Amino acid sequence: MNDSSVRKRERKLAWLAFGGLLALHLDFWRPNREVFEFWIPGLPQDFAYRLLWILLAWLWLLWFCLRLWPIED
Amino acid sequence: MEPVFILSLALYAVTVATLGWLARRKAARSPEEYFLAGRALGPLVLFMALFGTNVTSFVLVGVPAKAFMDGLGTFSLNVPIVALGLPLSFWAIGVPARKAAIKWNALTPSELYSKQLGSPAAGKWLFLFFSIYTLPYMVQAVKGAAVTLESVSDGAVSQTMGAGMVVALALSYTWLGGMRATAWTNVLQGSLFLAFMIAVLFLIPQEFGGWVSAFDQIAERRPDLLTLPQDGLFSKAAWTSWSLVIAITVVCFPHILARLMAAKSERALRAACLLYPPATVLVWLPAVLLGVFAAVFLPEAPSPDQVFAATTSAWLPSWLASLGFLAVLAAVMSTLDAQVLVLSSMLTRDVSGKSQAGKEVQQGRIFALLTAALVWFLAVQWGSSVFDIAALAFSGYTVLAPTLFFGLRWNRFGGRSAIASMLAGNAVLFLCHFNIVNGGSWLPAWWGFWAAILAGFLFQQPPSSKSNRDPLNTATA
Repeated sequence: MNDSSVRKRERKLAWLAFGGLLALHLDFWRPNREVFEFWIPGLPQDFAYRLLWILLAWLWLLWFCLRLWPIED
Repeated sequence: MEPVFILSLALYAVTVATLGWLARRKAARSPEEYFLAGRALGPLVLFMALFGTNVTSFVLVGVPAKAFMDGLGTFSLNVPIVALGLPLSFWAIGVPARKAAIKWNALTPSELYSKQLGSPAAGKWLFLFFSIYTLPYMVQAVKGAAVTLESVSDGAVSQTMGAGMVVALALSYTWLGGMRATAWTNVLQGSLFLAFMIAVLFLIPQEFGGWVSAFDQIAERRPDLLTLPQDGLFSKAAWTSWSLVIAITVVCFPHILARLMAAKSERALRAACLLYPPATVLVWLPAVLLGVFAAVFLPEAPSPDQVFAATTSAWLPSWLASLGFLAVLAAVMSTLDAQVLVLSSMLTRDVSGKSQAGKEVQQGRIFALLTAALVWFLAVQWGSSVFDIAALAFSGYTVLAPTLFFGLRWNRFGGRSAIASMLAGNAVLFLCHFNIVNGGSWLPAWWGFWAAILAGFLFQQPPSSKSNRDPLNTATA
């Protein structure tokens, strides 16, 4: 496989991952979404879920910006 | 009024005015220097200019008020999608906008689209919608700052006087130094409210025995605040449509778009995108905590709008609480200056017609003065209904997103498509907002957004028509 087809596959994968992130944000399918319990002391379950989502989203953004954003300056 | 507050306010005023004075010489060189800082905003200044402009009293005062009622769900609803959506929208619209602005030598957002689409009429319509939505947004912010000043001064500074002070101070450095002055002051203003919110994040839980202990007490007394509500914006349709609105509305603010056009390089833009998510969490999380803690720990429930003032006064040392009030003023001014500048630049370049370069800067300054005076007048005259109008404004920006995106990334989206898209989107928004048409649980902006896309497609240019522009969709990730 040449460089451009690898890059093309990586782009597809990135947009697929983006779709996954959106599905995780629109998480109406998540069981017990509205039930309160602490995940660990001091960290409510839904809040922990959102913090983890933000971390994943930031990692996605790092990947997107550093690998897939062609800088043309 | 606390002497610390008066002293820090005076120091703040002198500093921002000095920054404006220092930027004045370069600003006077050309309209490009005055309106776009010579397109030379480097990574840090660009990030702070975007972040400072984006964070308003809505985050510092409005978010605690929402969290006071809806609890930690306020964080879940807003922060994740903002942290991802904003940087991505900067890439999707900001990057090609910057390229096109350089190509066409455009200094304002409406001038950019007018030239890019080859349609001065589309540029004029865009200017009209930008103005209609930006003015109430400015008035709301100034009113918020005036109310804060009146409350801190125990009524010594009336709302009329407070609004005048805020507008005059923001105008002073904007008048002198244009975009460069506002970007420099945004670094100071952004640092101020970022530092304050980080202090809140660490100090307020300590008041209640530390983070874990505080959350145990909240779970015991108000467990409802630690989970997601099920109605209002938290219902499925509203959550989905709100996610769309809050993720894409910001890049459609003309004052944000102008800053993106002023980036020195694409690398600077990319750096700003990467810094956005952590900074968003650092400002929003303390704001949400203030609201949640207020609902549980304040002995007397304040009105939601007073949550910020009540909590900072009750739980922070007086000098830090004073800095908190200053942070609110800084947040208001960091947005107001950018709005005054972008409206005056559009009035100069897109409405009043071409004049000599030297005169254009003078003209821009006069329009900035007139815009600021109008905002002050409206802030004093307008009743509370302005808050409803400002809420409509955020939805209005959202329906402009298809024009801003396709106008830069799709060759068959021409002036006709842009005008059809803006008119259809705003018409549907208006019909749903005022319940003339029932949009169900979906927010009016959701329907307006899709109507704008549909109209743009229906009125696309035929494939044979020659476009006067090159495709700018070079950032193809």
